[in-house]
Amino acid sequence: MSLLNSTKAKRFFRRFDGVFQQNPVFVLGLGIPFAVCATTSLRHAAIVSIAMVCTGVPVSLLASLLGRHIPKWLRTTVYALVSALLLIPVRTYLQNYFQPATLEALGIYFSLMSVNTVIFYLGQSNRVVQEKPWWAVVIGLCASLGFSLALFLIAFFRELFGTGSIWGYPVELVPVKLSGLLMPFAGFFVLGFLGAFWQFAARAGNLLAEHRRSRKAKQKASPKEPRPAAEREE
Amino acid sequence: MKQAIKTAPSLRARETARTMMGDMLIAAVPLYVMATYFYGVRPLMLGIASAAVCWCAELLATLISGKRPNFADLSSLVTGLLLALLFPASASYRVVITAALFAMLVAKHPFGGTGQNPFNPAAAGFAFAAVCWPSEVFSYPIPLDRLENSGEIAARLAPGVAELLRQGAVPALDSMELLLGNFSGPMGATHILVMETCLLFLLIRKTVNWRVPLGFLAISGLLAWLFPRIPADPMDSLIFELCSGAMVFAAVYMLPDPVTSPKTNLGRLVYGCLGGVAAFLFRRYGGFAQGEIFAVLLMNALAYTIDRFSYQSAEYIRRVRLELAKFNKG
Repeated sequence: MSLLNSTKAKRFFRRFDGVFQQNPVFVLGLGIPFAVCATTSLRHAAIVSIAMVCTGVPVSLLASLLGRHIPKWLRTTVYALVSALLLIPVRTYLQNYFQPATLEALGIYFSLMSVNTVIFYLGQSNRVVQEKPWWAVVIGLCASLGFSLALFLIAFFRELFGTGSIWGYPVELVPVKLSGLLMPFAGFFVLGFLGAFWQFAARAGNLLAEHRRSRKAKQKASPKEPRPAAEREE
Repeated sequence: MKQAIKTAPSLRARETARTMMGDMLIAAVPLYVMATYFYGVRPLMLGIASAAVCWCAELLATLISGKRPNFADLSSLVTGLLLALLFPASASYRVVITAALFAMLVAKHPFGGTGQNPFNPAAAGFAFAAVCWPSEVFSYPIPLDRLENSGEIAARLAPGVAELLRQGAVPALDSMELLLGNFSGPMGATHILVMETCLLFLLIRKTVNWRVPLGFLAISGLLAWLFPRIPADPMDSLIFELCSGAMVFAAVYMLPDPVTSPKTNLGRLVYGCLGGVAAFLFRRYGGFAQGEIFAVLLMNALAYTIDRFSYQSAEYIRRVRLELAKFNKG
Protein backbone atom coordinates (compact mmCIF):
# COMPACT_ATOMS: atom_id res chain seq x y z
CA MET A 1 0.00 0.00 0.00
CA SER A 2 2.72 2.43 1.00
CA LEU A 3 4.65 1.54 -2.16
CA LEU A 4 1.63 2.32 -4.31
CA ASN A 5 1.13 5.62 -2.48
CA SER A 6 4.74 6.62 -2.92
CA THR A 7 4.76 5.86 -6.67
CA LYS A 8 1.56 7.87 -7.06
CA ALA A 9 3.07 10.75 -5.15
CA LYS A 10 6.23 10.47 -7.19
CA ARG A 11 4.25 10.59 -10.42
CA PHE A 12 2.40 13.63 -9.15
CA PHE A 13 5.49 15.52 -8.04
CA ARG A 14 7.56 14.54 -11.06
CA ARG A 15 5.54 17.05 -13.07
CA PHE A 16 7.10 19.88 -11.06
CA ASP A 17 10.63 18.47 -11.30
CA GLY A 18 11.59 20.89 -14.08
CA VAL A 19 12.16 23.69 -11.60
CA PHE A 20 14.65 22.03 -9.29
CA GLN A 21 15.40 18.30 -9.46
CA GLN A 22 15.40 18.09 -13.27
CA ASN A 23 16.43 21.68 -14.04
CA PRO A 24 16.92 21.85 -17.83
CA VAL A 25 20.14 23.87 -17.63
CA PHE A 26 21.89 22.81 -14.46
CA VAL A 27 20.93 19.14 -14.33
CA LEU A 28 20.01 18.09 -17.87
CA GLY A 29 22.53 20.34 -19.61
CA LEU A 30 20.07 21.72 -22.19
CA GLY A 31 20.05 25.21 -23.67
CA ILE A 32 23.74 25.78 -22.89
CA PRO A 33 24.32 28.45 -25.60
CA PHE A 34 21.68 30.70 -24.03
CA ALA A 35 23.00 30.05 -20.53
CA VAL A 36 26.46 31.13 -21.68
CA CYS A 37 25.97 33.86 -24.27
CA ALA A 38 22.70 35.50 -23.23
CA THR A 39 23.61 35.96 -19.57
CA THR A 40 25.96 38.92 -19.63
CA SER A 41 23.23 41.05 -18.06
CA LEU A 42 19.98 40.42 -16.21
CA ARG A 43 18.00 42.19 -18.96
CA HIS A 44 19.23 39.72 -21.56
CA ALA A 45 18.34 36.85 -19.25
CA ALA A 46 14.86 38.32 -18.80
CA ILE A 47 14.29 38.63 -22.55
CA VAL A 48 15.39 35.07 -23.21
CA SER A 49 13.34 33.77 -20.28
CA ILE A 50 10.18 35.47 -21.54
CA ALA A 51 10.79 33.99 -24.97
CA MET A 52 11.27 30.57 -23.35
CA VAL A 53 7.99 30.72 -21.40
CA CYS A 54 6.10 32.00 -24.44
CA THR A 55 7.34 29.12 -26.63
CA GLY A 56 7.81 26.29 -24.14
CA VAL A 57 4.27 26.24 -22.77
CA PRO A 58 2.44 26.21 -26.15
CA VAL A 59 4.83 23.61 -27.54
CA SER A 60 4.24 21.21 -24.66
CA LEU A 61 0.47 21.75 -24.96
CA LEU A 62 0.75 21.00 -28.66
CA ALA A 63 2.84 17.92 -27.94
CA SER A 64 0.23 16.50 -25.62
CA LEU A 65 -2.65 17.32 -28.00
CA LEU A 66 -1.09 16.31 -31.33
CA GLY A 67 2.12 14.52 -30.40
CA ARG A 68 0.71 11.03 -30.88
CA HIS A 69 -0.63 11.87 -34.34
CA ILE A 70 2.54 13.40 -35.75
CA PRO A 71 5.18 10.89 -36.91
CA LYS A 72 8.35 11.06 -34.84
CA TRP A 73 10.59 12.30 -37.65
CA LEU A 74 8.28 15.26 -38.31
CA ARG A 75 7.83 16.38 -34.69
CA THR A 76 11.07 18.37 -34.43
CA THR A 77 10.25 20.38 -37.55
CA VAL A 78 6.70 21.10 -36.41
CA TYR A 79 7.80 22.32 -32.98
CA ALA A 80 10.59 24.48 -34.43
CA LEU A 81 8.10 26.05 -36.88
CA VAL A 82 5.52 26.69 -34.18
CA SER A 83 8.02 28.27 -31.82
CA ALA A 84 9.50 30.39 -34.61
CA LEU A 85 6.00 31.66 -35.41
CA LEU A 86 5.39 32.42 -31.73
CA LEU A 87 8.63 34.37 -31.40
CA ILE A 88 7.56 37.01 -33.96
CA PRO A 89 4.77 38.54 -31.82
CA VAL A 90 6.89 38.08 -28.67
CA ARG A 91 9.63 40.22 -30.17
CA THR A 92 7.27 43.02 -31.15
CA TYR A 93 5.70 42.84 -27.68
CA LEU A 94 9.10 43.00 -25.96
CA GLN A 95 10.02 46.13 -27.92
CA ASN A 96 7.57 48.06 -25.73
CA TYR A 97 9.45 47.19 -22.56
CA PHE A 98 13.11 46.93 -23.55
CA GLN A 99 15.29 49.34 -25.46
CA PRO A 100 16.03 48.31 -29.05
CA ALA A 101 19.77 48.34 -28.25
CA THR A 102 19.30 45.63 -25.61
CA LEU A 103 17.38 43.46 -28.06
CA GLU A 104 19.96 44.11 -30.76
CA ALA A 105 22.80 43.15 -28.41
CA LEU A 106 21.31 39.67 -28.04
CA GLY A 107 21.82 39.22 -31.76
CA ILE A 108 21.14 35.77 -33.12
CA TYR A 109 20.39 34.31 -29.70
CA PHE A 110 16.81 35.62 -29.65
CA SER A 111 15.92 34.00 -32.96
CA LEU A 112 17.82 30.86 -31.98
CA MET A 113 15.31 30.33 -29.18
CA SER A 114 13.01 28.74 -31.79
CA VAL A 115 15.36 25.76 -32.16
CA ASN A 116 16.07 25.54 -28.44
CA THR A 117 16.88 22.11 -27.04
CA VAL A 118 14.52 22.63 -24.08
CA ILE A 119 11.64 22.90 -26.55
CA PHE A 120 12.63 19.67 -28.28
CA TYR A 121 13.02 17.98 -24.92
CA LEU A 122 9.49 19.05 -23.99
CA GLY A 123 8.05 18.12 -27.37
CA GLN A 124 9.72 14.72 -27.69
CA SER A 125 9.69 13.31 -24.18
CA ASN A 126 7.08 10.66 -23.48
CA ARG A 127 6.36 12.33 -20.18
CA VAL A 128 4.72 15.22 -22.02
CA VAL A 129 3.24 13.34 -24.95
CA GLN A 130 1.41 10.86 -22.73
CA GLU A 131 0.13 13.45 -20.26
CA LYS A 132 -3.22 15.20 -20.30
CA PRO A 133 -3.09 18.72 -21.82
CA TRP A 134 -3.49 20.42 -18.45
CA TRP A 135 -0.54 18.58 -16.94
CA ALA A 136 1.50 19.10 -20.12
CA VAL A 137 1.08 22.85 -19.65
CA VAL A 138 2.26 22.51 -16.03
CA ILE A 139 5.32 20.52 -17.12
CA GLY A 140 6.15 23.06 -19.83
CA LEU A 141 5.74 25.93 -17.41
CA CYS A 142 7.94 24.26 -14.78
CA ALA A 143 10.71 23.50 -17.27
CA SER A 144 10.57 27.07 -18.60
CA LEU A 145 10.69 28.43 -15.06
CA GLY A 146 13.66 26.24 -14.24
CA PHE A 147 15.41 27.49 -17.38
CA SER A 148 14.65 31.10 -16.44
CA LEU A 149 15.80 30.56 -12.85
CA ALA A 150 19.12 29.16 -14.03
CA LEU A 151 19.62 32.01 -16.50
CA PHE A 152 18.78 34.63 -13.89
CA LEU A 153 21.22 33.08 -11.40
CA ILE A 154 24.09 33.00 -13.91
CA ALA A 155 23.29 36.50 -15.16
CA PHE A 156 23.09 37.84 -11.61
CA PHE A 157 26.61 36.68 -10.77
CA ARG A 158 28.09 37.72 -14.08
CA GLU A 159 26.51 41.17 -14.05
CA LEU A 160 27.28 41.83 -10.38
CA PHE A 161 30.94 40.82 -10.60
CA GLY A 162 31.51 41.73 -14.23
CA THR A 163 30.03 45.21 -14.52
CA GLY A 164 29.23 45.94 -10.86
CA SER A 165 25.53 46.55 -11.46
CA ILE A 166 22.16 44.85 -11.05
CA TRP A 167 19.56 45.32 -13.80
CA GLY A 168 21.68 48.13 -15.20
CA TYR A 169 21.84 50.11 -11.94
CA PRO A 170 25.35 50.43 -10.48
CA VAL A 171 25.78 48.77 -7.09
CA GLU A 172 28.63 49.38 -4.65
CA LEU A 173 28.87 45.85 -3.31
CA VAL A 174 31.91 44.22 -4.88
CA PRO A 175 35.42 45.64 -4.42
CA VAL A 176 36.84 44.26 -7.68
CA LYS A 177 35.32 44.50 -11.13
CA LEU A 178 36.20 41.42 -13.17
CA SER A 179 35.33 42.38 -16.72
CA GLY A 180 36.69 39.01 -17.84
CA LEU A 181 33.46 37.46 -16.53
CA LEU A 182 31.57 39.05 -19.43
CA MET A 183 33.45 36.90 -21.93
CA PRO A 184 31.86 33.65 -23.10
CA PHE A 185 34.52 31.39 -21.51
CA ALA A 186 33.67 32.74 -18.07
CA GLY A 187 30.02 31.94 -18.78
CA PHE A 188 30.98 28.28 -19.07
CA PHE A 189 32.87 28.46 -15.78
CA VAL A 190 30.01 30.15 -13.91
CA LEU A 191 27.56 27.65 -15.40
CA GLY A 192 29.76 24.77 -14.29
CA PHE A 193 30.17 26.03 -10.75
CA LEU A 194 26.49 26.83 -10.28
CA GLY A 195 25.50 23.51 -11.86
CA ALA A 196 27.78 21.65 -9.44
CA PHE A 197 26.26 23.45 -6.46
CA TRP A 198 22.75 22.87 -7.80
CA GLN A 199 23.27 19.14 -8.30
CA PHE A 200 24.91 18.86 -4.90
CA ALA A 201 21.89 20.54 -3.29
CA ALA A 202 19.45 18.36 -5.25
CA ARG A 203 21.26 15.17 -4.30
CA ALA A 204 21.53 16.23 -0.65
CA GLY A 205 17.79 16.99 -0.61
CA ASN A 206 17.01 13.56 -2.08
CA LEU A 207 19.23 11.82 0.46
CA LEU A 208 17.68 13.71 3.36
CA ALA A 209 14.14 12.88 2.22
CA GLU A 210 15.06 9.22 1.82
CA HIS A 211 16.66 9.14 5.24
CA ARG A 212 13.62 10.71 6.88
CA ARG A 213 11.26 8.32 5.09
CA SER A 214 13.21 5.23 6.14
CA ARG A 215 13.35 6.43 9.74
CA LYS A 216 9.59 6.99 9.79
CA ALA A 217 9.03 3.53 8.33
CA LYS A 218 11.25 1.99 10.99
CA GLN A 219 9.42 3.83 13.77
CA LYS A 220 6.09 2.61 12.42
CA ALA A 221 7.25 -0.96 12.01
CA SER A 222 9.22 -1.51 15.19
CA PRO A 223 6.48 -1.58 17.91
CA LYS A 224 4.43 -4.21 16.02
CA GLU A 225 7.35 -6.55 15.35
CA PRO A 226 8.04 -9.16 18.02
CA ARG A 227 11.65 -9.10 19.12
CA PRO A 228 13.48 -12.14 17.74
CA ALA A 229 15.95 -12.24 20.64
CA ALA A 230 13.16 -12.39 23.21
CA GLU A 231 11.53 -15.27 21.30
CA ARG A 232 14.70 -17.26 21.45
CA GLU A 233 14.99 -16.80 25.20
CA GLU A 234 11.53 -18.25 25.72
CA MET B 1 56.46 -2.28 -28.72
CA LYS B 2 54.44 -1.46 -25.67
CA GLN B 3 53.74 2.10 -24.68
CA ALA B 4 52.46 2.77 -21.20
CA ILE B 5 50.08 5.73 -21.02
CA LYS B 6 49.88 7.18 -17.54
CA THR B 7 48.57 10.39 -16.13
CA ALA B 8 51.07 13.19 -15.79
CA PRO B 9 53.58 13.97 -14.38
CA SER B 10 55.24 10.94 -15.94
CA LEU B 11 58.18 9.78 -13.91
CA ARG B 12 61.48 8.06 -14.46
CA ALA B 13 63.39 6.30 -11.73
CA ARG B 14 64.81 8.53 -8.99
CA GLU B 15 62.77 11.40 -10.34
CA THR B 16 59.57 12.30 -8.60
CA ALA B 17 57.03 15.06 -9.00
CA ARG B 18 58.66 16.57 -5.93
CA THR B 19 62.13 16.77 -7.45
CA MET B 20 60.73 18.19 -10.69
CA MET B 21 58.79 20.87 -8.85
CA GLY B 22 61.83 21.50 -6.66
CA ASP B 23 63.89 22.09 -9.81
CA MET B 24 61.29 24.56 -11.03
CA LEU B 25 61.46 26.38 -7.70
CA ILE B 26 65.25 26.55 -7.92
CA ALA B 27 64.96 27.85 -11.48
CA ALA B 28 62.54 30.57 -10.37
CA VAL B 29 64.83 31.91 -7.64
CA PRO B 30 67.41 33.62 -9.94
CA LEU B 31 64.58 35.50 -11.65
CA TYR B 32 63.44 36.83 -8.28
CA VAL B 33 67.01 37.89 -7.51
CA MET B 34 67.19 39.79 -10.80
CA ALA B 35 63.78 41.36 -10.28
CA THR B 36 64.77 42.46 -6.77
CA TYR B 37 67.93 44.02 -8.18
CA PHE B 38 65.97 45.96 -10.80
CA TYR B 39 62.85 47.01 -8.89
CA GLY B 40 63.49 46.73 -5.14
CA VAL B 41 61.72 44.44 -2.69
CA ARG B 42 58.27 44.73 -4.22
CA PRO B 43 58.64 41.81 -6.72
CA LEU B 44 59.65 39.52 -3.84
CA MET B 45 56.59 40.62 -1.84
CA LEU B 46 54.34 40.02 -4.86
CA GLY B 47 55.82 36.55 -5.34
CA ILE B 48 55.40 35.61 -1.68
CA ALA B 49 51.82 36.90 -1.64
CA SER B 50 50.96 34.97 -4.79
CA ALA B 51 52.61 31.74 -3.59
CA ALA B 52 50.91 31.97 -0.20
CA VAL B 53 47.50 32.56 -1.76
CA CYS B 54 48.05 29.63 -4.15
CA TRP B 55 49.08 27.32 -1.31
CA CYS B 56 46.07 28.26 0.84
CA ALA B 57 43.68 27.97 -2.12
CA GLU B 58 45.08 24.54 -2.95
CA LEU B 59 44.62 23.39 0.65
CA LEU B 60 41.07 24.74 0.70
CA ALA B 61 40.14 23.13 -2.62
CA THR B 62 41.64 19.78 -1.59
CA LEU B 63 39.68 19.81 1.64
CA ILE B 64 36.45 20.75 -0.15
CA SER B 65 36.86 17.90 -2.61
CA GLY B 66 37.34 15.50 0.29
CA LYS B 67 40.91 14.43 -0.46
CA ARG B 68 43.77 14.24 1.99
CA PRO B 69 46.08 17.26 1.55
CA ASN B 70 49.54 16.32 0.28
CA PHE B 71 52.03 18.70 1.88
CA ALA B 72 54.93 17.27 -0.14
CA ASP B 73 53.31 18.60 -3.33
CA LEU B 74 55.14 21.78 -4.32
CA SER B 75 53.19 22.46 -7.52
CA SER B 76 51.03 25.18 -5.97
CA LEU B 77 54.12 27.10 -4.85
CA VAL B 78 55.61 26.77 -8.35
CA THR B 79 52.39 28.07 -9.87
CA GLY B 80 52.31 31.02 -7.47
CA LEU B 81 55.95 32.00 -8.01
CA LEU B 82 55.78 31.71 -11.81
CA LEU B 83 52.48 33.56 -11.97
CA ALA B 84 53.83 36.62 -10.14
CA LEU B 85 56.87 36.79 -12.45
CA LEU B 86 54.61 37.46 -15.44
CA PHE B 87 53.22 40.67 -13.97
CA PRO B 88 54.93 44.06 -14.05
CA ALA B 89 56.63 44.95 -10.78
CA SER B 90 54.12 47.76 -10.39
CA ALA B 91 51.07 45.45 -10.42
CA SER B 92 48.84 45.86 -7.41
CA TYR B 93 48.45 43.01 -4.93
CA ARG B 94 44.73 42.85 -5.76
CA VAL B 95 45.47 41.88 -9.38
CA VAL B 96 48.08 39.24 -8.50
CA ILE B 97 45.94 37.68 -5.78
CA THR B 98 42.89 37.52 -8.05
CA ALA B 99 45.00 35.83 -10.71
CA ALA B 100 46.34 33.33 -8.16
CA LEU B 101 42.84 32.53 -6.92
CA PHE B 102 41.61 32.06 -10.49
CA ALA B 103 44.58 29.81 -11.26
CA MET B 104 43.93 27.51 -8.33
CA LEU B 105 40.17 27.55 -7.85
CA VAL B 106 39.01 27.76 -11.47
CA ALA B 107 41.80 26.49 -13.73
CA LYS B 108 43.26 23.70 -11.60
CA HIS B 109 41.03 22.12 -8.98
CA PRO B 110 37.64 21.80 -10.74
CA PHE B 111 39.45 19.64 -13.32
CA GLY B 112 40.87 17.27 -10.71
CA GLY B 113 43.81 18.97 -9.07
CA THR B 114 47.52 18.28 -9.40
CA GLY B 115 48.38 16.25 -12.47
CA GLN B 116 44.90 16.44 -13.99
CA ASN B 117 44.58 20.08 -15.05
CA PRO B 118 44.24 20.54 -18.83
CA PHE B 119 45.47 24.16 -18.75
CA ASN B 120 48.58 25.56 -17.16
CA PRO B 121 47.17 27.26 -14.02
CA ALA B 122 49.70 30.09 -14.01
CA ALA B 123 49.02 30.90 -17.67
CA ALA B 124 45.26 30.76 -17.09
CA GLY B 125 45.49 33.07 -14.06
CA PHE B 126 47.61 35.57 -15.94
CA ALA B 127 45.28 35.46 -18.95
CA PHE B 128 42.28 36.18 -16.73
CA ALA B 129 44.02 39.12 -15.06
CA ALA B 130 45.11 40.41 -18.48
CA VAL B 131 41.53 40.31 -19.74
CA CYS B 132 40.19 42.05 -16.62
CA TRP B 133 42.83 44.77 -16.14
CA PRO B 134 44.70 45.15 -19.46
CA SER B 135 45.99 48.66 -18.76
CA GLU B 136 47.44 47.70 -15.37
CA VAL B 137 48.94 44.41 -16.47
CA PHE B 138 50.56 45.71 -19.67
CA SER B 139 52.18 48.94 -18.44
CA TYR B 140 55.60 48.51 -16.93
CA PRO B 141 57.90 50.56 -14.68
CA ILE B 142 61.37 51.56 -15.87
CA PRO B 143 64.15 49.31 -14.51
CA LEU B 144 66.31 50.51 -11.62
CA ASP B 145 63.41 52.62 -10.32
CA ARG B 146 62.79 51.79 -6.68
CA LEU B 147 59.11 50.97 -6.19
CA GLU B 148 57.06 51.37 -3.01
CA ASN B 149 56.31 48.13 -1.21
CA SER B 150 52.63 48.85 -0.88
CA GLY B 151 50.05 51.46 -1.81
CA GLU B 152 49.98 53.60 -4.94
CA ILE B 153 52.91 53.44 -7.33
CA ALA B 154 54.41 56.88 -7.97
CA ALA B 155 56.91 55.73 -10.60
CA ARG B 156 56.32 56.48 -14.27
CA LEU B 157 54.86 53.56 -16.22
CA ALA B 158 55.48 52.85 -19.91
CA PRO B 159 54.25 50.31 -22.46
CA GLY B 160 56.60 47.39 -22.96
CA VAL B 161 58.85 46.56 -25.88
CA ALA B 162 56.24 44.16 -27.28
CA GLU B 163 53.78 47.07 -27.57
CA LEU B 164 56.43 49.18 -29.34
CA LEU B 165 56.96 46.36 -31.84
CA ARG B 166 53.22 46.14 -32.37
CA GLN B 167 53.12 49.81 -33.28
CA GLY B 168 55.96 49.26 -35.74
CA ALA B 169 58.65 51.17 -33.82
CA VAL B 170 62.24 49.99 -33.47
CA PRO B 171 63.25 49.95 -29.78
CA ALA B 172 66.50 51.81 -29.01
CA LEU B 173 68.23 49.00 -27.12
CA ASP B 174 71.57 47.34 -27.65
CA SER B 175 71.95 43.58 -27.44
CA MET B 176 73.74 43.59 -24.05
CA GLU B 177 70.86 45.48 -22.43
CA LEU B 178 68.43 43.07 -24.04
CA LEU B 179 70.27 40.03 -22.74
CA LEU B 180 70.55 41.36 -19.20
CA GLY B 181 66.92 42.46 -19.09
CA ASN B 182 67.56 46.17 -18.62
CA PHE B 183 64.32 47.24 -20.36
CA SER B 184 60.75 47.69 -19.23
CA GLY B 185 58.77 44.48 -19.27
CA PRO B 186 57.28 41.81 -17.00
CA MET B 187 59.31 41.67 -13.80
CA GLY B 188 60.63 38.15 -14.33
CA ALA B 189 60.49 37.71 -18.08
CA THR B 190 63.08 40.22 -19.32
CA HIS B 191 66.25 38.57 -17.98
CA ILE B 192 67.05 36.57 -21.11
CA LEU B 193 70.54 35.40 -20.14
CA VAL B 194 69.41 34.23 -16.69
CA MET B 195 66.49 32.37 -18.19
CA GLU B 196 68.74 30.65 -20.74
CA THR B 197 70.97 29.51 -17.89
CA CYS B 198 67.95 28.19 -16.02
CA LEU B 199 66.88 26.39 -19.18
CA LEU B 200 70.29 24.71 -19.32
CA PHE B 201 69.92 23.64 -15.68
CA LEU B 202 66.42 22.28 -16.29
CA LEU B 203 67.59 20.43 -19.43
CA ILE B 204 70.50 18.80 -17.61
CA ARG B 205 68.20 17.80 -14.75
CA LYS B 206 65.78 16.42 -17.41
CA THR B 207 62.92 18.34 -15.85
CA VAL B 208 62.30 19.96 -19.22
CA ASN B 209 62.44 18.10 -22.52
CA TRP B 210 64.53 20.02 -25.06
CA ARG B 211 62.02 19.52 -27.84
CA VAL B 212 59.40 21.89 -26.48
CA PRO B 213 61.36 25.10 -25.70
CA LEU B 214 63.76 24.77 -28.63
CA GLY B 215 60.99 24.00 -31.11
CA PHE B 216 59.00 26.96 -29.82
CA LEU B 217 61.91 29.41 -29.96
CA ALA B 218 63.18 28.13 -33.32
CA ILE B 219 59.83 28.42 -35.09
CA SER B 220 58.89 31.78 -33.61
CA GLY B 221 62.39 33.08 -34.38
CA LEU B 222 62.19 31.79 -37.94
CA LEU B 223 58.80 33.44 -38.45
CA ALA B 224 60.08 36.73 -37.02
CA TRP B 225 63.08 36.54 -39.36
CA LEU B 226 60.92 35.79 -42.41
CA PHE B 227 58.15 38.31 -41.71
CA PRO B 228 59.57 41.29 -39.78
CA ARG B 229 57.00 43.89 -38.75
CA ILE B 230 59.49 46.67 -37.93
CA PRO B 231 61.57 48.60 -40.48
CA ALA B 232 64.85 46.96 -39.51
CA ASP B 233 67.20 44.15 -40.39
CA PRO B 234 65.53 40.66 -40.26
CA MET B 235 68.12 39.59 -37.68
CA ASP B 236 67.20 42.57 -35.46
CA SER B 237 63.54 41.68 -35.85
CA LEU B 238 64.32 38.13 -34.69
CA ILE B 239 66.22 39.34 -31.61
CA PHE B 240 63.62 41.92 -30.61
CA GLU B 241 60.68 39.57 -31.11
CA LEU B 242 62.26 36.80 -29.06
CA CYS B 243 63.44 39.07 -26.24
CA SER B 244 60.30 41.19 -25.86
CA GLY B 245 57.21 40.17 -23.94
CA ALA B 246 57.44 36.80 -22.26
CA MET B 247 58.57 34.66 -25.19
CA VAL B 248 61.57 33.03 -23.50
CA PHE B 249 59.70 32.79 -20.20
CA ALA B 250 56.83 30.99 -21.92
CA ALA B 251 59.28 28.67 -23.67
CA VAL B 252 61.22 27.76 -20.51
CA TYR B 253 58.65 27.82 -17.71
CA MET B 254 55.16 27.66 -19.23
CA LEU B 255 55.06 25.40 -22.29
CA PRO B 256 57.13 22.41 -21.03
CA ASP B 257 55.03 22.02 -17.87
CA PRO B 258 54.97 18.21 -17.43
CA VAL B 259 51.23 18.12 -16.71
CA THR B 260 49.89 20.02 -19.69
CA SER B 261 52.37 19.12 -22.45
CA PRO B 262 52.29 15.94 -24.61
CA LYS B 263 53.92 12.75 -23.35
CA THR B 264 55.51 11.49 -26.60
CA ASN B 265 58.72 12.88 -28.07
CA LEU B 266 57.29 13.50 -31.54
CA GLY B 267 54.27 15.10 -29.87
CA ARG B 268 56.52 17.40 -27.85
CA LEU B 269 58.31 18.58 -30.97
CA VAL B 270 55.04 19.24 -32.82
CA TYR B 271 53.66 20.94 -29.71
CA GLY B 272 56.63 23.29 -29.45
CA CYS B 273 56.61 24.17 -33.15
CA LEU B 274 52.85 24.77 -33.30
CA GLY B 275 53.20 26.86 -30.14
CA GLY B 276 55.72 29.04 -31.94
CA VAL B 277 53.31 29.58 -34.84
CA ALA B 278 50.44 30.33 -32.44
CA ALA B 279 52.55 32.80 -30.44
CA PHE B 280 53.59 34.58 -33.66
CA LEU B 281 49.96 34.85 -34.78
CA PHE B 282 48.70 35.99 -31.36
CA ARG B 283 51.35 38.68 -31.13
CA ARG B 284 50.78 39.90 -34.68
CA TYR B 285 46.99 39.79 -34.91
CA GLY B 286 45.73 39.33 -31.35
CA GLY B 287 44.23 41.92 -29.05
CA PHE B 288 47.25 42.14 -26.73
CA ALA B 289 50.88 42.78 -27.57
CA GLN B 290 52.01 40.00 -25.26
CA GLY B 291 50.06 37.15 -26.78
CA GLU B 292 52.34 34.20 -26.08
CA ILE B 293 50.55 33.31 -22.84
CA PHE B 294 47.32 32.90 -24.80
CA ALA B 295 49.23 30.75 -27.27
CA VAL B 296 50.33 28.55 -24.36
CA LEU B 297 46.71 28.09 -23.32
CA LEU B 298 45.68 27.26 -26.89
CA MET B 299 48.45 24.67 -27.17
CA ASN B 300 47.49 23.15 -23.82
CA ALA B 301 44.04 22.52 -25.25
CA LEU B 302 45.63 20.74 -28.24
CA ALA B 303 48.15 18.66 -26.23
CA TYR B 304 45.96 15.56 -25.99
CA THR B 305 45.13 15.61 -29.71
CA ILE B 306 48.80 15.99 -30.63
CA ASP B 307 49.67 13.03 -28.41
CA ARG B 308 46.99 10.88 -30.03
CA PHE B 309 48.16 11.76 -33.53
CA SER B 310 51.74 10.96 -32.66
CA TYR B 311 50.71 7.55 -31.26
CA GLN B 312 48.76 6.88 -34.45
CA SER B 313 51.62 7.95 -36.69
CA ALA B 314 54.08 5.79 -34.73
CA GLU B 315 51.73 2.85 -35.20
CA TYR B 316 51.42 3.60 -38.94
CA ILE B 317 55.19 3.80 -39.39
CA ARG B 318 55.60 0.49 -37.57
CA ARG B 319 53.06 -1.18 -39.85
CA VAL B 320 54.69 0.20 -43.01
CA ARG B 321 58.06 -1.10 -41.83
CA LEU B 322 56.62 -4.54 -41.20
CA GLU B 323 55.06 -4.60 -44.67
CA LEU B 324 58.35 -3.53 -46.25
CA ALA B 325 60.24 -6.24 -44.37
CA LYS B 326 57.74 -8.84 -45.62
CA PHE B 327 58.04 -7.51 -49.19
CA ASN B 328 61.85 -7.60 -49.07
CA LYS B 329 61.86 -11.16 -47.77
CA GLY B 330 59.30 -12.42 -50.25
